[in-house]
Amino acid sequence: MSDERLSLLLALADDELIIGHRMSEWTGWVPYVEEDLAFSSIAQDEMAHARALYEIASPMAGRDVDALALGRRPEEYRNAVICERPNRDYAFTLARHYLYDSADHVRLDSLRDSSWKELANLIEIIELEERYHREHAQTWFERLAAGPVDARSRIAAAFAATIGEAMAIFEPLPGEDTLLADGTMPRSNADLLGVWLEHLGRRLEAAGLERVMESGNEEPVGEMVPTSSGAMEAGDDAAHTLRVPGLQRRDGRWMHVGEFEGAGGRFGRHSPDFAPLWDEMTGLYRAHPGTTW
Amino acid sequence: MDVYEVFSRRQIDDPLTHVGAVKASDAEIALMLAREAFFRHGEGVDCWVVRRGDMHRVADPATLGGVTDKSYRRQDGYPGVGAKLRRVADQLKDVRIDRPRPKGTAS
Repeated sequence: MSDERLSLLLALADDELIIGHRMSEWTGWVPYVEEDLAFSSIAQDEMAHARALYEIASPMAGRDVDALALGRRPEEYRNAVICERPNRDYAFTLARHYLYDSADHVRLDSLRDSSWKELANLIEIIELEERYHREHAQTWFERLAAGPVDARSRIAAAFAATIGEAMAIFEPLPGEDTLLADGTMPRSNADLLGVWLEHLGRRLEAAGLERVMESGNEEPVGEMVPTSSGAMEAGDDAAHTLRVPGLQRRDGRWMHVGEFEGAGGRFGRHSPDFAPLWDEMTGLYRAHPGTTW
Repeated sequence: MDVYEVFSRRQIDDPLTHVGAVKASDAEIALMLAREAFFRHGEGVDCWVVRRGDMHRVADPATLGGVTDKSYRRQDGYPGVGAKLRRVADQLKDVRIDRPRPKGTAS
């Protein structure tokens, strides 16, 4: 049991750590200073959430929190690939922030009913801060989608470029059947993907941007190659690059058709963008293990 | 009738401070009433009013400042750093860097 629960914790925590790291790269560079403070705070929240999740994982993994966050090999990280992508411009950053935080809310909301009380209790606390993240993402989404033309076309292009990888946040976890059987996960990732797509489709239609949902079908999720060592923890399942389900509008709502195939971030399979991020993020820890302020 | 919040400056270079509220049908009436409600004894040198409905409050004030560990944002998140700094400074007191590092040497 604890192996499956660890894979759930690492998926949640690594997503928060890695997207938090990407967000923190904006500190000092955001288009204006008040937004710089707000976005940097969100980055710090994501890292604080990762830390709290690693604290639960620590005894199960037999490693302390810093070792979990900074002391693992690249292929041991279980974040979804969308989290590790470079920030590009601020429109891309905000579109990714919107997709990630709305998807994160769907899974956290479900985990409030987890039979694993220690996790459910932590989720309650995390959600108090996540509410602001969603307000922030939603507010900018509405402003940029309303124009001017440059803002609207940039946010639409950013959504279109990343929606496929956003779906992979819901890639089934290793051992998910066991987590479902004992109620640790009240709903499967496939179910949660459906909930999220219906919600996202409604928001995009309200903004007149639903065409970006179609672009989810155009290309398979970007190239995901084994990380530097080439080691894959998932065995044969990991032989194939992750492909996400297709998207369709049916009976007035957006839904996915088909299944995930292959393996992605949840099995330690990352994009080429991960290695440089890992190198920078863990550099101090690797050079001076156990260092403190 | 609306409620208007009233703000004052005690001295002209002081920040605006909230001093109370008056009921009024419009801003002109509010200003007229506020000056006598709050400034009769010379309590301030400037008076502003704003309709309460034009002010906006955060929805979740209990989460201001965050609810997870952000101790690194405060001084009390760094206990012992001063002593550590003095200790390291003491260790390095005889180290003198009096010329640039030669090119090509490792740091």
